[in-house]
Parts: sequence; C-alpha cells; structure tokens
Amino acid sequence: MHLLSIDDLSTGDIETLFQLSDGFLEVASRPIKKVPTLRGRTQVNMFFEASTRTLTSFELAGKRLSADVVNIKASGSSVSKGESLKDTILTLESYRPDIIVMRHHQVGACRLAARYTGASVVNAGDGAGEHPTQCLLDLYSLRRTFGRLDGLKVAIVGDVLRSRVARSNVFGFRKMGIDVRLVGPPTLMPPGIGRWNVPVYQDLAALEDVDVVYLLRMQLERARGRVPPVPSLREYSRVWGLSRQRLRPGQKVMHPGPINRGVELSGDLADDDRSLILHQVESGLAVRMAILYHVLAPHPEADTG
Amino acid sequence: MANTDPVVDVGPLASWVLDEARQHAVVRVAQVGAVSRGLRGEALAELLELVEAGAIAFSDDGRSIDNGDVLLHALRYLRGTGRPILLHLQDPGLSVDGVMHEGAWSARLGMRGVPSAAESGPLSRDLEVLRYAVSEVAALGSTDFPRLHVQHVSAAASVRLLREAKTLGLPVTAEATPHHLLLTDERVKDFDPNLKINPPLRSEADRLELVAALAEGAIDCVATDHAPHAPHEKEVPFEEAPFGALGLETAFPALNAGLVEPGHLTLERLIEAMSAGPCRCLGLQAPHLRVGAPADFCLVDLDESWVFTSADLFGKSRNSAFLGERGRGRVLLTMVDGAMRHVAGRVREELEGVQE
Repeated sequence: MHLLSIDDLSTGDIETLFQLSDGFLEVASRPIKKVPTLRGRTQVNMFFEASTRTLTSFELAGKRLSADVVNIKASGSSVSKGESLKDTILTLESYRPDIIVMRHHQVGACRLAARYTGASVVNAGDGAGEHPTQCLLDLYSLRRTFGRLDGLKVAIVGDVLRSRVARSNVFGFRKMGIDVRLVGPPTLMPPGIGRWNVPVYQDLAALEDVDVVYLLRMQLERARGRVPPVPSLREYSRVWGLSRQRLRPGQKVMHPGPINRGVELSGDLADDDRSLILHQVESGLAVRMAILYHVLAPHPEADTG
Repeated sequence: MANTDPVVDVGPLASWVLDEARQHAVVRVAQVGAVSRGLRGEALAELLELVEAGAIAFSDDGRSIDNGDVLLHALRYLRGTGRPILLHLQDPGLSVDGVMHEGAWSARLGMRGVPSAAESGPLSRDLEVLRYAVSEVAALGSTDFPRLHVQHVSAAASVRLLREAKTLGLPVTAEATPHHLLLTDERVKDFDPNLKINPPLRSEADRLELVAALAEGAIDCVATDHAPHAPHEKEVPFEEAPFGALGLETAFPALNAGLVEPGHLTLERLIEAMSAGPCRCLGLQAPHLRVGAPADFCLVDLDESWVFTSADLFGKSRNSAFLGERGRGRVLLTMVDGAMRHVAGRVREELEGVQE
C-alpha cells in the first residue's frame, strides 16, 4: 500500500500505527536499537527538496528496521541533468525497491510516482499539498502527552496557505476527534477555506481555551515574485508571534520545524518545558518505523489474488 | 494622506503626525496610512501597526493600486479593523503624459488627454476584487466586510459603475470634489495652471452626472482634494504645471452658489454631504448638535453673495480654481470641541487676543 494522503488511513489504521509505534519507541530505548523486521527489503529515500529532520528520521527508521536504505537528493543526481520524474522512477524501478519515500516541491508528485512503481510510496511532503507522516507523528506525540486525542482542542497558527503540514493536520486531527481551529491573518489562510468547515480566527485571543498551540513556520521564501502575504516578519511576530506570556500554564506548544526563533515563537518559548517540539522529533522516529513496517505488511484487501 | 515625504507607511510616522496635530492644529486631524510600502504598489505597508497608531483609513493616494493582488491582500489583511481603503483610480498607461480630459477640448487645444476610461477601467476591476473579497467573508459566515471608498470621482462612466455596485449592495462609498461638480474641461482653454487637476476637469455631461449622483446619494459626500502648491510652481505653462488645486476655503460657498441656488441640490443634502457624509465614508462618529456632545459646528451666513479673491485664502498657497468666481454664503464661525477656532476670517492665534 501507499501512504500519499492522510485520507488514505482509517482511524483503525491510525490506531494500529500507534500500537506499532509504542513497540518501536521501546526499541529506541534499548542499548542496541536495531531489529531485523525489514531485513532484505530496499528503501529508497528520494528527496527533491532540502530536508534535514525528515530525511534523517526516515533513514534512521529504515536502518533500525535493518532495511537497505539508499538516499537520492535532487542536486548531484540525474534530476539536475533534466531527467523527468517519470524516468527517474522507471530507472529506480529496475532495482525493484520495496519502499520509495519521497519529498518533492510539487503537489501531487508522489501520486505520479506511485503510478510508475510497484514499490510502496510514502509521501514525505509534496509542495503545499500534504505531509501525512508529520500528521501521524504529531498525533502520536499528542497521544503520548495527553493520553487521549478525542476532545483535545488544538489551534493551528500561522502560514496555513503554504503549509502541507496544516493540510494534513486539519483533516487528520479531526478524523481522530480533535477540535481544530485555525488562527492567523486572513492573507495566510487559503482562499476557499470556508469549505473546510473549520473555525478561522484572526486574533491570538482564540488560543484562550485550547490545550495545544500548533505553530507553523512562516514560509515567506515561497512568496518570492508575488505579493508577500504579510507586510513584514516584524509585524507578523508582533501580532501573531507566540511568547511565554501569551501561553497559559498547562498549554503546550508544537511546531513541525524548522523553527524561526523570534518570528512565530519567542526564543525562550522554544526552550520552555511547555514545548513539545523535541518530543515530536522523538515520536517521529518511532512512527516512521511503524509506517515503513505497516506499508509492507500484508493487507487483506491486497491479498485476494 | 500618506503621500508625503517620507511616506506614512509605518506606525511611528503616523503617531508623530497625530502628536504634532494635537499640539498645533486648530481642527481635528486624522491620518490616512499607505496601503503599500513606499506607495510602490508591491508589498503591504505595516497596516496593523498603522491602525494601532491611529490611522483611520488606507490609501496610496496619488497613484492607483495597479496590481490587483495587492488590493486583494489589503482587503483581506484589514479584515476586522473596520478601516476602509480609499482609491485613487488612474490607469498608468491610459493617463501617461495626459494633462487634461481627453475629448473635444483636448483635441482643439492640442494637449494630451486622459480619457474617462483611465478612471472607470481600474474602478471596474477594483469593484470586482471587492465583490470577491466580500464573498470570501460571507463564506466564513461573517459580516465583517471590507470596504472601499472612491476618491475624487470625475467621470460619468464611473458613476454608472458605482450605481451598479450599490444596487448589488457592495460596501463602497464615493466622493466628488467641488471643482469636478462645478467646472468643466472647456475652462482649460484659458490655460490657467490652477485648473490643471488630477483627475482632470471633464465634460459637461460628466459634470451633470456627478451632480445627479450627489443629489441621489450614489456619490456619498463632497471632499476637496485640497492640494496646495507654492505660487512659483504654478506660474509656468499649463503643460509644465503640477496637478492640484486648493478647495477648502471655497467649498461651501461655491457649491451653495453653483448647485443649491439654481435648485440642482437641496441645502440639506449639501450640508449632509459635507458633514455626516464624509464621517459615514470613513466610519467616524458623525457630529451631532445635542447636549453633552462635542461642540463641532460652523455658523454660516447663507445669503451673503461674494466673489473669491486670493485675499480669502488662509494658507501660503494661492492655487485656487475658483478665483474670480461667485460664492454664496460665508462661514462666520467654526467651533471645534467647544472652542472657537475661526471667527470672521481670523484663526486661532489671532483669536487668542480677541478672547482676552
């Protein structure tokens, strides 16, 4: 099976992944952090866009499961020589990989790749489209922290417009019973958001009763050549930047990283014990091990032949 | 307006102007902030900081917002502030090098014209952008609609678009100036640089349409677009002169003589269009004569008929389009917040001696 969108998973699938993650989290606490689960399997990480934490997380997840892991980056590969995505995938297909983990700057690229390969494709972020594994690790981090998901109140704050994380999290969080709201300037909300049926607020006052504030990174570099969505990072951080004073005791802060200290959150808040940012990274490794295992596990509906 | 040097596109500048005004001005002064940084029409100015500093509205006055996406961003970004965007409409291509209205008189005089479409074209687009921005807010179940106000409407084609927009219920208001309501392009034949104005004085048909629109409310209020220039700047050939004319001192008597006296406009409507009307367009509290309210009012002798001369102007500039014209009615006294600020042609400093 592929994991292209958070919509591909049922609540049952997500519960299964959490149980698997619990096991793999335990593996990470052992002196020898490796299990033979995927021995003999081949995992190709194709990253057409710069990434540190996601690539590291997937590479380490594969290696700890004993898979043979190959990393391909856009620079220094045949992609930089003008090869089309289709041809890159067909070439790799000759090696019969089992899993392709793909990050691409264009929405839908993973879906295109899935059409030309027999491997399971895992979307590690496609443009402003989706980032389903981030959503799963965030859900797992929330579950570990609060012991439940149903009924939690989460505010997602900031650059929703350009965020694939927001696109996966709004729909994935709601699937698990989380009460989601969006907060930020109207220029950072996707036009047509009225159809999402999610409450949208402009003011940080909307954070008052939430359990978690999920901050998004300001991605002004993606606005190059167009009208910038906010006048300046100065005005953004003054009006929408989260500081320790603006966070109630007991509320938690999450962020998909990389964080911009002094923009979407103050530097001291990133280091505050209410921040789950590093907890998310730790959860990410266990969840990605679970995902790699899960996409290769036999599925009843695929076994009919 | 924000089109000063430096451009009022950050909060501290607006605060400084308002502080100065509190100390020195004889009337209430409000500041309009820039829509785009440096009026360059590329990126938004720090609009929320300007709102906090006291900006009551936003405008790139002096130039139009050529990039429709900048206007859409501004309308979205200002959601919830209640601050309108004031439009100066001028298609840069259609108005390039133009010095007067494009029509029979520009053809006769041999000067390059600015067609009405230079105003109505951008207005049409901006109203469509507004319609879209309003529909977005409605889709969120909110009634916190963005607002547009059209500055110095000059063309009949623009009036037609405004009527259509208002029929649709769009949140748009508009103003006309005394010179566009009273003067036409024919007057340019004497090459008086004080009649070089932007947008230009247009045809008699345009003027009549503006008067009708003001009477019926499609144009909400009168604004002077007061634009002082040093005498030496205007003492040059027409084509070389800068755009703009004074308007403050002559606005009421000129309109009273030109529109109310012949019966084209009621006195009540003129007073409304010069007091409560502008407040409505800007979202300000309208002045009221009642116990406990701030005493903001003028006393006017409605009957005095007189001819404007440069001696009737209060500022340092003399570039009035109405010198030699007849006015009816004279403002005898101006009260601002309970204090006499102007009595019989004398302003505060001179009055201080009188009151003692």
